[in-house]
Amino acid sequence: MSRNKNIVYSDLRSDLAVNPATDDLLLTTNEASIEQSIKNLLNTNRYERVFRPDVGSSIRSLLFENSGPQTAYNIRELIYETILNYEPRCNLIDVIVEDDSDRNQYNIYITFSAINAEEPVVLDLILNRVR
Amino acid sequence: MAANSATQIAELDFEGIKSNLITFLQAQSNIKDYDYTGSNINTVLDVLSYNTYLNNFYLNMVANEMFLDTAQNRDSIVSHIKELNYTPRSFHSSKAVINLQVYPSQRVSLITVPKYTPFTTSINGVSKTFTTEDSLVIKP
Repeated sequence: MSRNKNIVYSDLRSDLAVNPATDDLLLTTNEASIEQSIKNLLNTNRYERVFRPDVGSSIRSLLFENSGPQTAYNIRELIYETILNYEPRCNLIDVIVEDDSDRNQYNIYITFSAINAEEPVVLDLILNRVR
Repeated sequence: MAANSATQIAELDFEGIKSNLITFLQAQSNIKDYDYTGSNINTVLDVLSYNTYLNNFYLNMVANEMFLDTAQNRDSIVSHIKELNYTPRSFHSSKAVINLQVYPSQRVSLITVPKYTPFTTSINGVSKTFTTEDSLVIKP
């Protein structure tokens, strides 16, 4: 039985944290679960998952390109494509990619709402360049 | 606790194993995101399915190689037929019988033909080389 009827989506947490009192694995729920899923998808390269070569975004390869509006646009397109293909639980509202060259990073703001909720959620991500 | 405790994991394809694990998870309601590709539980299922797939494949190969009827590897078949007192044939090199006539310029007590001495001949226009397997000692 579900502990809470308002919980529609629930997933293991990425850090596999446990409840100190019960030693049960802690779970993420609803919008937090979708956010975690989006982060997983964006951080997964294509051909990384076994038997699922199409899953992922290959966004990491773009971090080696010259920074600028074209690369930011390509990152945005990849994010759109990945979320539309693999995250059917969210209505994607907007994706903003900011080129923060001074800090060698891209700031990404993904606005979405869960399909069972009207409240939009903004997911902040930072993509660090590795050179 | 899941109701279907007898999970079917004896499939030999990845998708079948994963589908059975998802069916197993559908009997509980704590973790619900197993159907979504990006979820952590889906990734865990991928790892479990891959591991099960490899184990099943390995076990299938071992079981096949254990019996003469189903073995595929030549080494396994040779091992099985040894128990039936059968020795398999394999490739043999061709042999040449040579009449060697030696005319030494001076008197010698022994003439030695060293090991691996090459002898070349031509058969139908194709050059063939034969070598001695051992050194030969000829007493004149």
